[in-house]
Amino acid sequence: MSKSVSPIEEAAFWYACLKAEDATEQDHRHWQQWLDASPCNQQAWARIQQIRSLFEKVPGKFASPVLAQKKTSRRAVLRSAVVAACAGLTGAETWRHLSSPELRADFRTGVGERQRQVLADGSLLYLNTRSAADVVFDHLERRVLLHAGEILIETRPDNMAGAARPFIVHTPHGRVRALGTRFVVRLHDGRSSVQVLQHAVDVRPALSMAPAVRLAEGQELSFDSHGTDMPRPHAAGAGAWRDGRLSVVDMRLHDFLAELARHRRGYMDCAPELAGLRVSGVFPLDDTDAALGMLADAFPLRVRYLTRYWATILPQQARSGASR
Amino acid sequence: MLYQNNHRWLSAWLRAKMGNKADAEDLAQDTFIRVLCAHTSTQMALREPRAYLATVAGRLLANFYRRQSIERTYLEVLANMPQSEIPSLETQALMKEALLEIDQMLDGLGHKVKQAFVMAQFEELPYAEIAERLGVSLRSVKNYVARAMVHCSAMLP
Repeated sequence: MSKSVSPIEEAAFWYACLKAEDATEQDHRHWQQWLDASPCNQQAWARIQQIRSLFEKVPGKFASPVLAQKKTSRRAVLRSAVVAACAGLTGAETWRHLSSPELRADFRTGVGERQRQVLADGSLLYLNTRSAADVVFDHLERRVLLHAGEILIETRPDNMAGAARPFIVHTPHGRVRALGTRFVVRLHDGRSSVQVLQHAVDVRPALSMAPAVRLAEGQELSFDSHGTDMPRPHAAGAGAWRDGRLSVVDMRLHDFLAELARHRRGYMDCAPELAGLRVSGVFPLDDTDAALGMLADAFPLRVRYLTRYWATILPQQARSGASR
Repeated sequence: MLYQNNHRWLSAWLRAKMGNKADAEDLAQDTFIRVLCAHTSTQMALREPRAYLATVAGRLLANFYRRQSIERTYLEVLANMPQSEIPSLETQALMKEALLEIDQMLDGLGHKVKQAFVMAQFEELPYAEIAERLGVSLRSVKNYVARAMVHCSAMLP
C-alpha cells in the first residue's frame, strides 16, 4: 500500500479482505502483522469494529430489504395530490341499480376470518375480518360491491377478448375505479375509505357531480355520498392484514384495541389513563391473545381476562401490591 | 422577529407540501430551532428570511420522508415474517432505530457500491456471487466493500 493511504483505509481494506470467502491463513497472519505494527492501526481497526457492532444490531434478513430499497421520490407522490379526472357517467348512479348480475359471487367472512379469492379475470380479492362483498362481472364492467368490512384488491389486466372492462369497487357511498393494481377499500359508519398501495384510483362519491378525485400511491382518503375529504399519506402498514398482521405506528392504545377487536370475539377495553398510550409495531392477527401479550411485555400494563371474551387492559400494579 | 413574521407562512408552506397539519407544525418548529440555533447564518436569515427558511425546511422535509420510507419498508418486512419470528416490541423499536442510523451512514454511497455492500454485509453473499449479480469483477466487489467501510467510518459520529 502506498504512503498516502490512511490507517482507516487500510483497516477497511483488511476488513474487505478477511470477509472474502477465499480469505486464507496467510491473509490473517498479514492482517495481524499490520495490526501489531502501530497503535494507529489498532485505533482504525477498533473503529471498523464499532461500525460492525452497529450493523449487528439488526439481523440481515430484516436489514437487507430495507437498506436495499431505492430512493422513492415522495415528492412526486405528493405533487399529484388532487388531479381532476374527466367525468364519465353521472355520479347519481346509485347502489341499488347494481343488482342485476350476469355472473355473481357472494363472499363473506366471520370474526377473525380472512379470505383470498381469485376472480374470473385473475384479479385477487382479499376479505378482511367481518366483511361481505359481491362480485359482478358483465360485458361492461368488472364490479365488486362492498357490503361490509374491508377488502384489498389486486387487479389484473382484463382478459375478456376485445374490451378492457374497467374494474370498479362500489360502496354505498360511491365508486372507486382502479387505475392500477393494489388498493384497500373499507366501510365505516356512514363513510368509506380508500388506501392506495400501488398505482392510483379515481374516487367518485355517489351523489357528487364534481369530477372524480384521483388518489395516488401512498395516499388515502375517506368519502361519503356527497364528497371526499383531502387525500393524505396513508398510515404505514396499510393492508398488512392481508398477511395476517396488524402493523401500526404511533397509534393510540384506544384505537389500537378497536382495530384488534375487529379480529376477535368478545369485548376489549382499557383503563382511561392508558387510552392515549402510543403503540408502534407489528402484531399477529390470528392470535390476538398473543398480540395483547406483546403489549404487556413492552409496556407497564397487564391484561385482565374477566371471561374468555372480555379482556381489559389495566396499568401494572404497584410493586408492593403485586400479589395477583 | 424572524419567528413572529414567518412562522405562519412556513407552517402553511409545509402544510401545502405535506397535507398534514400536525407533521407540518412539528417540522416548522424544528426548522426554527435549527435556524435560531445556527447563529452563523443570521446574515442571510435576515436578508432573505423566507428563502432561507424554505431551504432549511426542505432539507428537514427530505429527511422526514426518508425516515418514513425506511419505517414503512421495515414494517412491511416485519409483517412478512412468520409469526414465530416476529420480535418483541422493544426489539422492533431498537432495530428500527439502528436501521435508521445505518441508512444515514450508507447515504451518499454510489448505487453499485451500496448494493454490493448490502449484499456482502447483510445478505452475507460470497463475493463471487455478488460479482456475478452486479456484473463486476471480484476485485471491484472487494474494493466496494472497503470503500463503503471508509465511508461509514467518516459518517460515524
